[in-house]
Amino acid sequence: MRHGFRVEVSNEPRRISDRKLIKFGFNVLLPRKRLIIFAWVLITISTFVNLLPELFLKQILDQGVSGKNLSIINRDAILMIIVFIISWILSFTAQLTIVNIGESSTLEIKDKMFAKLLNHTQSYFDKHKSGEINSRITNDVNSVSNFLGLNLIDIVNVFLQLIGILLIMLSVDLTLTLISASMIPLFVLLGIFLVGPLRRISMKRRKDISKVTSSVAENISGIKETKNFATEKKVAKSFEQVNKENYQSALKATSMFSLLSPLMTLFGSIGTALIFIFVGYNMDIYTAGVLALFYSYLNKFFGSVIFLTTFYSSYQAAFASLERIYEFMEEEPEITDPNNGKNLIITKGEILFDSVSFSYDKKVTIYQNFSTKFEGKNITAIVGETGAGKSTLVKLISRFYSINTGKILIDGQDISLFDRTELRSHIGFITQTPKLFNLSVLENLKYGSPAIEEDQVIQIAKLVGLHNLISKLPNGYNTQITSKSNLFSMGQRQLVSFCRVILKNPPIILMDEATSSLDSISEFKIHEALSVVFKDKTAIIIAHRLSTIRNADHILVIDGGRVIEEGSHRSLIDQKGKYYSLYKKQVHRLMKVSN
Amino acid sequence: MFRIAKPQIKFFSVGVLSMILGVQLGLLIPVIVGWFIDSIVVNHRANELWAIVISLLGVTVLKGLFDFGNRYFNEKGGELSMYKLRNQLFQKLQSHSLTFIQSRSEGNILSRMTADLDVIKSYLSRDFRLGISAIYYYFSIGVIIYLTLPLLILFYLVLVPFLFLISWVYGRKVRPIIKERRKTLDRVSTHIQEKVANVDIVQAFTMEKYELDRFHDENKLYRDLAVKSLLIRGSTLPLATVLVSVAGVAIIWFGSVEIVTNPLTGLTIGQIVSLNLLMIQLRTPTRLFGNFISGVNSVQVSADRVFDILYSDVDIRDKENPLTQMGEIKEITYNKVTVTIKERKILSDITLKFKGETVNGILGSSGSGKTTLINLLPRFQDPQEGSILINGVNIRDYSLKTLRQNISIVNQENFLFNKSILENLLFSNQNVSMDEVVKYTKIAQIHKFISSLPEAYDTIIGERGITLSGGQQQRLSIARALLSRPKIIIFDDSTSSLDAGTELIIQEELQKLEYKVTMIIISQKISSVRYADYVCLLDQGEIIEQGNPSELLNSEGLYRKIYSLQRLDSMVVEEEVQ
Repeated sequence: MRHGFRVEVSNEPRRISDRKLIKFGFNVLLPRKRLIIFAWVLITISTFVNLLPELFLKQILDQGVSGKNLSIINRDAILMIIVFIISWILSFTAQLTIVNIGESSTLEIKDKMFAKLLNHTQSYFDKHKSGEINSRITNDVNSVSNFLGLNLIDIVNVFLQLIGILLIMLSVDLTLTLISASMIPLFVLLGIFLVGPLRRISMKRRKDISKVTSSVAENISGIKETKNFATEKKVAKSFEQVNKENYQSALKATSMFSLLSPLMTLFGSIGTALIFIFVGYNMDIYTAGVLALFYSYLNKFFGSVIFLTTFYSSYQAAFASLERIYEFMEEEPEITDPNNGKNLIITKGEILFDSVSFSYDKKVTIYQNFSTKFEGKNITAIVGETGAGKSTLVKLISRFYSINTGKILIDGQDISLFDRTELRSHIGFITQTPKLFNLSVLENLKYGSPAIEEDQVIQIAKLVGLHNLISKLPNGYNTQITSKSNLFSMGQRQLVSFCRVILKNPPIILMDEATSSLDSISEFKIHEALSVVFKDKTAIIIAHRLSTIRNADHILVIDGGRVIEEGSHRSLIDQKGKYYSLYKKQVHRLMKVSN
Repeated sequence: MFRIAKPQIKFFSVGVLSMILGVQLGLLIPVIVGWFIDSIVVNHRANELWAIVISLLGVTVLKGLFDFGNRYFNEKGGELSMYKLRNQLFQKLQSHSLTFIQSRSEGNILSRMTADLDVIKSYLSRDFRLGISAIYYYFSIGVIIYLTLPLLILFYLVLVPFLFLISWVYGRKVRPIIKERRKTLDRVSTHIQEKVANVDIVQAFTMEKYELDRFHDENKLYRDLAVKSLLIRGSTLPLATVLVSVAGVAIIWFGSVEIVTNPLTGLTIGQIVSLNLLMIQLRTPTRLFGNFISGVNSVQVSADRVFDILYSDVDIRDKENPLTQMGEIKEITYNKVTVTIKERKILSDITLKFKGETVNGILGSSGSGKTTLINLLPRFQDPQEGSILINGVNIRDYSLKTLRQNISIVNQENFLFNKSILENLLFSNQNVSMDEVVKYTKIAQIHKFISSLPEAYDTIIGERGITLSGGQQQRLSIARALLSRPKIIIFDDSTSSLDAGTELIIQEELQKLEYKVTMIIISQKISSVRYADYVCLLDQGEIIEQGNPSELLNSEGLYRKIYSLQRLDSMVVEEEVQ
């Protein structure tokens, strides 16, 4: 049988109408309409050409052999060979065209999706998990591409073939055609009755196998805890349970799928038997050629019918994927850039919050009418308890989140009037848990300033205290970082992050717990290095450690979304307020050591 | 690879036998069609009609049964092999040392237990048997041709090697491209995951364009590989189909001419028709034979990767008749312990003694070997030289289970299972009452937080539940470790994400623990070991200072230096406060 039985799973009812989705898919394909028409024409021709050999065979048998006409035999045999070759060329060209259409559209969609992704604000990434996003851009797009490429071709192909066969069969013999067609309902019934259960069992199988996978994954990640608490037996037992369930549903699915092809063959044979019986009682009317023709066509015919009855499920699956892509593309980023190419001009680097309100997800209010000023070319430290909204504050300056009301101004210019890329090109941002990319060490260090020379990078690596470590690596600065390699500790990754920002050399630097994982000695070193770097720059520092905070020109103490105290270290100590008590707690901790 | 299939050999044998019978019966159908054409259509022998119809239906039903048996038993053998193999792998994996797992990375092991097993399974239960069936097809059709038209067998013998060749070329050329394509897809996935996880960095450094270009290039490669693989596939497999079809035509032509010019040979129209139908049946096995050939390589690679886990020796295991009881801890002794990894000394000649039921601190900067030092105690890793004794007994004399049940480690980053908070807490010890659970979560300063959640202790954490902050994870892990009532508890930088106040409270609470415990605290910060009775300072795998904290403070060593650096703040503030 030419066409396999396809069972795909779609779990939920769709929220977006087919019409919208078709329109969406159509728009993607529109630029390639010429190629599509070309492919369809080829397929149509190739489908009909494919039906010719049986006709030639009939002629050879009936006119050549029975009529003892050698020239017909020779001629039709050669024609048959020509037809096979033409049909090969046609279908090859058509397939190539179609794969090209499918893959190029896919490429385009993926690019668009990824561009969209990078344009989203942080709140999008708080809501959507990376696995889910990944699955949309890869699995869903590929599933649509397969549908566009192969299934859509197959459906046209099969449909045309069905019509072609019916027409030829009708032109040869009406009764035999009717007998053949009488089998269609059986196949349709088979399709209808089996598709449901098969889909359910496939879905269960897929779920069970993914349970096995996640159980393995979880237990590999947690193997240290398993060993730690010596619970190997218990863990193995629960895995065996999951594994067994998977085995059982696999077996059930197998037995159902194994039934399918014998049943279809049986139905085909019943059709053939009916034709045999009818011909047997009307021996004089039919020739060998007609019989050979009908027998061959019958196989193709039933194959097409089966394909059509199961097409619905692959269509469903593709549309479910298409819907997810559609939703992905429809979700607009919270911030739309003005795209005006306007340049932010920074003279002092003064940052002003003017009655800013912000809430995550429009629910949890973090800031209400918040106003404050960060002096230009000054180091300001933000202090507060965990959850006070310190990180949020610096993220708002970079517009990782969009504020609800109010304004943030840099040197008097409202930051929302500029493209985010323009704004961020003036800001260096160092996070608490920086990650390294799958790039070389060098490329990681100069991430953000691709044009910089290697010498300069090395110079900065020396400054932040990374050079010694890197020189010891097998390939030095060209060592490739992979997700497997554990070459850099968190503290060292923080140093990489410093390196990146220093190379970028922006007038404004934001540091969010950027030295939390450094040991005292490295922190001491980096502070010395930074005193040079921070010169003439506006810096906002969030930190727990007093040594970091105390060097700031100005300190803001934040609590409950408000600035409750501010001033220099000394003045805040004298104030004996929140800062003083926070500070005392740490000192208390340190003093205990000596007692 | 056949080692895997061997235990299920009975299923595979029944399966393969059914397959061959099914194939053979399938080849009878064209013969029946030929018989019908000759008897009924050409010679009008009406009395044979029902015999023909009954044989047709009979053969179909039998073939159906065998086809079912073929698929069912082969799949059952495959699935059963995988089920057993997976269990074995899982158990083996649990017994391997951490070094073994870490040297292969989690993702790699996961793919061995999933993707590689799939490769093996589909080859065992599909490609392998289809390869056998292809060979049987070629053979059986050859026999039929020989019996009908002996002369044509020469022609057939020329054709078959060509078909094998095409399958072979296909297998050799297309499979690598498909593999390459899958790798590219993996890279695309990694790229997306990585960029999503670090979108703040990409955006902060305005590298969107750069990342887009890289993404585009990978995807373009993916597309080009798709086109390339189609080009090769389209020029090999259909070529085989064309060859088979042309051969069919040749048979028709040869047979027809034979009947017309040489009627005495006894060749019939029905035979021509059935030979043509048989040739059509050859197309599918030809297409699938390529997978049989090329699959051998990839399945071998996968099998090797699986066997690496299954048959490599477990380097850390119980000795014979190990001790299963561990008394109260009196002392823990490291005796000239040296650890070398890839020719680099991580720890050299460490000798130290922790007294039972005391608090001990290990100080050192990152990379000094602190974590390795304590990983030796529960035998996550064995030292190359030296020995470790608990109460004077070498830890290798205890069973691993006894040893590890008595030692709990809380790490800086702890793994929590994607289950409820309670299930996670009970992971270490299931025989505790809820009151006790609460007692220890209170000590770890996490009870209040848990109670504030709508579903409290039943809240699911992880991917399918709520996300915990680093500090919350650490506190939960501390509670989990305390619940297992270990005799030795090790805190490996496990309060790094907590603020100063919380850390202080937990440390004070730990002093009041009602069961007897020996604590080892590992940290970079002097303040974390403030309660220690004994502290040792580790630098580049060597102990450079050890003793009682006040002793160390009075000596002119590194401890004092770090102390003054970290104390700088407090001195300043002392002045200011006064």
